[in-house]
Amino acid sequence: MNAQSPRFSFASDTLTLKKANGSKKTPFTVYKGAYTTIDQTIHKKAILGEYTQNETTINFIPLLPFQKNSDYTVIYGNEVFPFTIALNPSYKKLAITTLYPNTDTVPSNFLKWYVQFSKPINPTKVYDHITLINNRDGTEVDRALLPLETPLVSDDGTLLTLWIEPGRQKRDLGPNKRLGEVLIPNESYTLLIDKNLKDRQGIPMEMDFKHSFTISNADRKKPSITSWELQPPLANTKDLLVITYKESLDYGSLQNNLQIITASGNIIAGDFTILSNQNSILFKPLNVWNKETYILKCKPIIEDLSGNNLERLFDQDVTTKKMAPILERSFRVE
Amino acid sequence: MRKTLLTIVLAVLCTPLFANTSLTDGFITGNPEIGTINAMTFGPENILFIGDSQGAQIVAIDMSTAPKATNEKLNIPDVELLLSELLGADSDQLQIIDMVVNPANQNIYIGAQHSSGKSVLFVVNNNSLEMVPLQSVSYTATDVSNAVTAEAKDRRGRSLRKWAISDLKYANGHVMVSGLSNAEFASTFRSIPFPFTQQQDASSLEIYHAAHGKYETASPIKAFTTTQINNESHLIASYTCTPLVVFPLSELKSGAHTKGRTVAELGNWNTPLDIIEMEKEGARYILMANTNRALMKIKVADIESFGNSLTTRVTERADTAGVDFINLPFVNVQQLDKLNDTEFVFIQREASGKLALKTSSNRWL
Repeated sequence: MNAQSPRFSFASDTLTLKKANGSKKTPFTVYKGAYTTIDQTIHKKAILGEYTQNETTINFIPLLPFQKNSDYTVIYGNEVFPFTIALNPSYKKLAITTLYPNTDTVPSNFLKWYVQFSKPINPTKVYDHITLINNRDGTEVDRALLPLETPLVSDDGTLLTLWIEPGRQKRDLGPNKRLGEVLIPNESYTLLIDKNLKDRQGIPMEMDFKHSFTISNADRKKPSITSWELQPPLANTKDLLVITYKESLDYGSLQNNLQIITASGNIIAGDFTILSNQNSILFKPLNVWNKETYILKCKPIIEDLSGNNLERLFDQDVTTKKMAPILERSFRVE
Repeated sequence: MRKTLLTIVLAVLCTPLFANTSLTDGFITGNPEIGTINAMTFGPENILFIGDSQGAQIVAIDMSTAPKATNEKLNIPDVELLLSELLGADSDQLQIIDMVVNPANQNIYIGAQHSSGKSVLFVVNNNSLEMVPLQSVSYTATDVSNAVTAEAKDRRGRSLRKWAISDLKYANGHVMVSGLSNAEFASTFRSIPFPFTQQQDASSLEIYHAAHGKYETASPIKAFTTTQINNESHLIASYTCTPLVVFPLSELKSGAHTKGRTVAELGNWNTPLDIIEMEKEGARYILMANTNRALMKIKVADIESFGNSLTTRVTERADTAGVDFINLPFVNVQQLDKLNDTEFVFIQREASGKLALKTSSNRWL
């Protein structure tokens, strides 16, 4: 419903009033909610925003854009105008495009998921919409995911990191000893993200998201790059370098932790594509490959699905001797 | 003429003697372009520090010109409703990120965030909230982007990484910042000298904690404070995986593999939100607000006397281990700060479902 007054026009980020001839009325105020009388707004606070005016109009720019499909009311002198800004019917609703990892099986000391959304999400109270279900009896697993008051959402707002409660994943801590790991080997679970999770405009998802998986034994081994297969491209081409590996790796930790260099240490410009759900990594060089030996260089913080990185286990036994990690693999381009 | 010259010479010679040096001397007036308010703390001289994850910066703002708010009979029964009205947004689109008190005048500041990512700073006045504009303030800032691994972007050029500032404190001429990474389960803790300098000590610290001497994890610090333990400055830090750990500040050296000593485990599925120190009758107490536990009280003297056995296996008590702590009858406290010597202010989710801002005296200590 739009306002009954032809003098007002409404948009998400501006409310405009056409001045009547000679009008010296004080600017209007805007309230959240639908009201029909001024009395109803007496104990309400007006929405914060800036007023600007020119010869013909007075504009109100709210501090935050008006929500779609929500009720607001303008009070102008003795007049009351309720209004809403309708959602465009062709609005594309929020959806989950990928889950990392999306494997059917994860180890019992599995640490985190990354949920890729189609657009920026509303991070507020996001955990209220995410549950882990034990498929044996359909019950919710109590205290499975760590609720952070500031959820870990990427700067672009589309990638949400979910941590399995780390106190239960770390050996010898109280919660681990009393309750054990969150996930039990051979059991099957479903990650459920309900459709009431909203985007930044406050519009919920179209449908629930479900991902089922089973649990294997705990992974207490550091990942190693020595078993990675490198398929070298041909010289004088800009072909992809294709890297494949067997053990699933953590999607986030592969981002930006890889580099291709020459034997003399010069960095090769190009882009990595992390296909962690396919256990592969692609590298597209900016310039053609030369006929020479190159080196794939990895940062030690690359993790497997259980938080074990190339250098150390998630929960390192301090009584064992530390070994220097292997962080480089060379390959020859012919 | 000679007299004038003498006056000038004397003035020049005397200036350094009479000049008042202030921590705000290098501040400039302008817009600090704060992306998000993720954590806040007050330092000396009315300086408000804001941790801005999106802008990858720590901003120090001079709040000395802010008028003292009227905060008698402090009680806001429904902060969410108030925010919802002022910002014209549903409550589930809004979140209170942090609340801090300026110790110089007891003004209470609240940082709120909208789901669009926009942050707004408010001051509590007359049991209401007033917006504090940040477009033109006296400030200085330092870049913390090198705490984040250089930007990784996917094929569509979207940034996938996030280093979220989780807590911020000022002590001993340093701004200390803890952060969580969305990609690695690792500790990021920085100690930045203040006033900020160009030649910043890249004091990114490797901080570990040990589970009773056997396993250690590079776990992220969630919340922390500083205090004196046995007459030495210490950091009291809590991790995402429950332990409460102490470090001498003198051990927090750049690049050092610093291992904190566990003094308590705070219980399963619990992340600490705020840690403050209060004093009563000469005894000092740590008060801690948590996501899933009541407000906890720990006597600093207990941590001090626990010192000798910190590295050995602790005897387990019911749901936690380590030094004794007492659960105070305040549940679901989401924000906590010291208001003055005898009172603390807090924001609590009440049984009614409403989020209320209240104060309490130190009679509970």
